Amino acid sequence: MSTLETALIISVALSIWVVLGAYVVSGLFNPLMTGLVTGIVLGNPILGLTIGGTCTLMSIGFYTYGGAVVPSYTLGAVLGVAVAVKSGDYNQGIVIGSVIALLGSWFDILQGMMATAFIHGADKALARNSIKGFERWHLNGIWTIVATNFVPMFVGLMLIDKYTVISDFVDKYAWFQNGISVIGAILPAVGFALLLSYMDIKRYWPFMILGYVLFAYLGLPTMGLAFVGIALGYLYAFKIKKVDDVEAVNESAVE
Amino acid sequence: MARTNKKLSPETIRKAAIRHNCTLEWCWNYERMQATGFAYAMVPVLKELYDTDEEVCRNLERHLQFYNCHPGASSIVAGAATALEEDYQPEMTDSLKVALMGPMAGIGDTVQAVLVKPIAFIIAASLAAQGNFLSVPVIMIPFILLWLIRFPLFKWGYHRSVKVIEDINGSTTFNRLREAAQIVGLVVVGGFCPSMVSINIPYTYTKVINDVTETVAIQDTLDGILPYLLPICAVAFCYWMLKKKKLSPLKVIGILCAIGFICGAVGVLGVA
Repeated sequence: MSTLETALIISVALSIWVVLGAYVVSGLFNPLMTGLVTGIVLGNPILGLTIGGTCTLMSIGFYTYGGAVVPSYTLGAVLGVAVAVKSGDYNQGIVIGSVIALLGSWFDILQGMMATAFIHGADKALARNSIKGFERWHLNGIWTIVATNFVPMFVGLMLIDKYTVISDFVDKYAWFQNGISVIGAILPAVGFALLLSYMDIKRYWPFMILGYVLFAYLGLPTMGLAFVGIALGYLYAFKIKKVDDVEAVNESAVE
Repeated sequence: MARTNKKLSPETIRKAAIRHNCTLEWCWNYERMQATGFAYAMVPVLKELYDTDEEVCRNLERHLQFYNCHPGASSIVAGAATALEEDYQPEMTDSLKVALMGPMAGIGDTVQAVLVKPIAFIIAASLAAQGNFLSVPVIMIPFILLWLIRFPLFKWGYHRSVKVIEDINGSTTFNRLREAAQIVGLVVVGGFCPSMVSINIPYTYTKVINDVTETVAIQDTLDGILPYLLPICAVAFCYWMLKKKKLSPLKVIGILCAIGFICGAVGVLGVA
């Protein structure tokens, strides 16, 4: 297949997937899936899955609280897989993917601004007493999402041959190769730290240590950890009388 | 004005739920976020309650005020709003939306961001790293379930109507749910995150004991002190930059990339 054909197939498939997987059901349009789809089309599903998986890990702590802008790891995974398939180097894929993810966040901002025009259209339709017109403006808002996902994917995939400049450079210097492979390995730390920053560690730190001991010393797998967590969460939040509550009761009794 | 005690047909309620649960964010924008999506869900409701297009449109305009919530938890708000529209209480509907969207976003975001998403992503990513295609259902199923729950949530909101506010403020169930979600998230993240940051120190040195030459890897010594010491330091360093230094995540990524690249290029750090 030519570059144009593969670029079109991937971008169209993922543009449909973003509507169904992020705007009808949410959460299905994730880096693992976009990486895998790209890998399948480019003939290397396993590489797609592994790079998609790593990008998924990097995205773990990024959450759109109140519409906050987050790196677009879904886009990063697409171009990361494309670069990795082209160069045969997993690490180059990860690094390119991370950089593209950061640049890609601008397209989300663009989408939110473009759709502002659509809500003004909806306002005007209602002023004309046109229910149909209002509905059309709302539903057509999806095109801002399709466009801001399709364009960067398609353009990025069309320019895929340009990446050989980078890969030639990387191949020449071993130290550069080592540097970028450590970047790829260390980056998930940001996502985890971000996730932890949402949580009340001051209050719940013992649970984190417990999870660490169960995993690192006793070798419990993730599902096992999740079950222990559910049991503890239920016991702690629903069953055990809180120290604060008891104190509050005591204080009010004194008063 | 059609001020009769009209009861909405089940068909209309189903239509509103489908519209809300499938298209809420289709026109997400910076100005009023999910406003059009919420209003779009109310179209079948208002059409059945009011006779003329003009009345429907005036009421839709009320719904085009700023609205933003977690799309799943918003189903409860939409259900309750439907019930209040049915009682012809437009002012109540508007204040209910404003009162509920914050707390509902809080519970929905907590469940999704610290519970479902990290656990699904961590398990799927570790399977994907081994090239295992089971990672696909693992990452899809939890989110499909979260989406399916929206329909009963809408119904629950509709039946509770304005009492949803009491449920939020009066009982502590919602706070407890958030608390439990955080605990599950922390047990899993605390346990698992160190192993996913795969860095080590590649240095080895030799020592001679009783004429026997032994090669000692620094990493083995570190593992003896504390498993996953380096990954924990990396996460702790990022946490410190985010929380104490108040740096933006993008800056933290930049700093970490620079440190990782230099340490990797010099050979201090390697990939485990």
